[in-house]
Amino acid sequence: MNRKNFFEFLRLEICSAKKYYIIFFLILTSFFSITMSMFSSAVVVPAQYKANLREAFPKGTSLLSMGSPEKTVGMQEAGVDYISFMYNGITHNASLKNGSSILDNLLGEAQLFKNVFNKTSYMSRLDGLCVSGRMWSEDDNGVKNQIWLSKPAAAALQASVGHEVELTGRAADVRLAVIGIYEENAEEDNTPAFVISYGTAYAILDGVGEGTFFLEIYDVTRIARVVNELDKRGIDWFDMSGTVDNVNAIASSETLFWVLTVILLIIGAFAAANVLAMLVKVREKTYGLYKMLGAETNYIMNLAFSALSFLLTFSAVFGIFFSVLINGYFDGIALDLFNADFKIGLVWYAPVAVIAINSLFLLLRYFRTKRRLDKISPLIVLTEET
Amino acid sequence: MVEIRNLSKKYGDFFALNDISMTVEQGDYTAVMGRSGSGKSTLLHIIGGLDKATVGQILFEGEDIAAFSEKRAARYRNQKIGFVFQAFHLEPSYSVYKNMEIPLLIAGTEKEERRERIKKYADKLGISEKLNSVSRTLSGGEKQRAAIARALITEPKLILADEPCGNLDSVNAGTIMDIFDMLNSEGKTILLVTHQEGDAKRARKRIVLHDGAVMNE
Repeated sequence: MNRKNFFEFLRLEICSAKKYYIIFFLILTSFFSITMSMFSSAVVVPAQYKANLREAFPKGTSLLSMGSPEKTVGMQEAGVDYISFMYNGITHNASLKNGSSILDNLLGEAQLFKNVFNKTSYMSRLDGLCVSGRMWSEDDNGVKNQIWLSKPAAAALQASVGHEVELTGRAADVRLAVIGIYEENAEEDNTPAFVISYGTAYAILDGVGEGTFFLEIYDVTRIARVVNELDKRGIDWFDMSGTVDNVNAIASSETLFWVLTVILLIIGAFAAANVLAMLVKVREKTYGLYKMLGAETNYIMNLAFSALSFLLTFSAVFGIFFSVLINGYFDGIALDLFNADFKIGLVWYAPVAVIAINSLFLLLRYFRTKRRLDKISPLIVLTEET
Repeated sequence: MVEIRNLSKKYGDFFALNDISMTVEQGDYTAVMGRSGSGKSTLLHIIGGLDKATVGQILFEGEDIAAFSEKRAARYRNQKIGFVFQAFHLEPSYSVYKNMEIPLLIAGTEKEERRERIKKYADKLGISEKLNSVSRTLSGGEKQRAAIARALITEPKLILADEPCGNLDSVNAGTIMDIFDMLNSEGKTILLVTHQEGDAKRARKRIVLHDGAVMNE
């Protein structure tokens, strides 16, 4: 069969069946525009809510919780950036010795901080949050069996860098190498203090009891995930910033948007795929006539498929146009009703995803429709007067 | 041209055609007669490659059409056979021009040649003035002349006509039969299925079918 007249035949086919193509065009354009709008909303609306929340909490947020440090193991995977564990009085009987010099009971008000990340430099932590405590320790991070001394502590012990001091704890005595001497913040009480590693603290204190946690989350939108993890672990928590409900509401709306998007995507893709089958069904007699006049199944199938591809392309273009209008309309409504400065627009990958999924479904349908077309006998023309 | 050997067509237990053998020579004008249900249309469909025989052979210029692939059968219908039916079977939303153009588009005929052939056969069948009319708006006689023009457009060797005057009044029927006479006089081979004695008398050869079998030749 000669294919050089294919496009002329295609034009004839589309012109003659235009009423069906117009109906299919309207159906597909509706699906495309609604799906693309919903897809964009699913991406943009929750993202805008999250951005607003981040703007309101630029330094993140905190949760307060109770328990032992073991309970927080792995919380960083749930989105926690920093955990402070506070337990007063855990080191009552700790004392530092260097030869005959002893610093006793200097840690009655000690706080134990645990940074869940090891990325921050040692000194920046020293200059930042951690100097506020009498005793500060962290994950081992290569400083186990080492100690930093505050200037008053070093003076009292007559110790300098390179010396070794002995720390007597409730459970064990350890010998620690002095690796640095620091000055206390001027605003702080200038009593002798020191810095040891978290692991060292554990060793001398025989573990720690129940205390208070501050879980710091730099990205406020992660709070829901953290709370969920705390609930799973059976740890009570208190939302100090009151953002959990907001974040949960955003997550729910995001889920709803995506569920609707996926439903629309699937329905739309099925519709597009079935348009091909419907086209063959409604044009059954004409295609039978084409067969009687010498057209092969492949020829007719390619005719229907090409016609539908054109239709899908036009529907997609109009769908993009209408979805921009729809989302622009909702921007206006949001502005009027909630004074919310929304800019949903159309995310570029919404049309790409919608068209890709529709094309995939259409291709899958191609072979099934071809089998159906194969079964159309030229004799179907004779079943009724045309 | 067409040689039919021991052809049978069965639908379940019913024999629509039962062991038919016959020959159609180049330039023949053969009328196949018989009552309704005698199998004459089935015979025409099988010869035209629209249906398959249950057993037997149909040789068209020495080739067994039952052995044709889908592609070959399609080309056979497009190039060798012209169909004319009682109900015309024009595409109702197409113009006469477009209806006549379909077989040529399928055949891959160039645009200029398509135009020339359509003009030639429209003139021959007296429907030149109706070329741009949508076929559903034509009268019965015009529809049948358009259908014949479409059947002739690829210049097939064999015209298969199934009750071509069945839906026409006597005047139009006479015109259509005159056209068949003219085509045969020009060398076209025609196989005409009819139950009208008058129409059959115009053919040079008559075959009568009864219950799927040849009763008289």
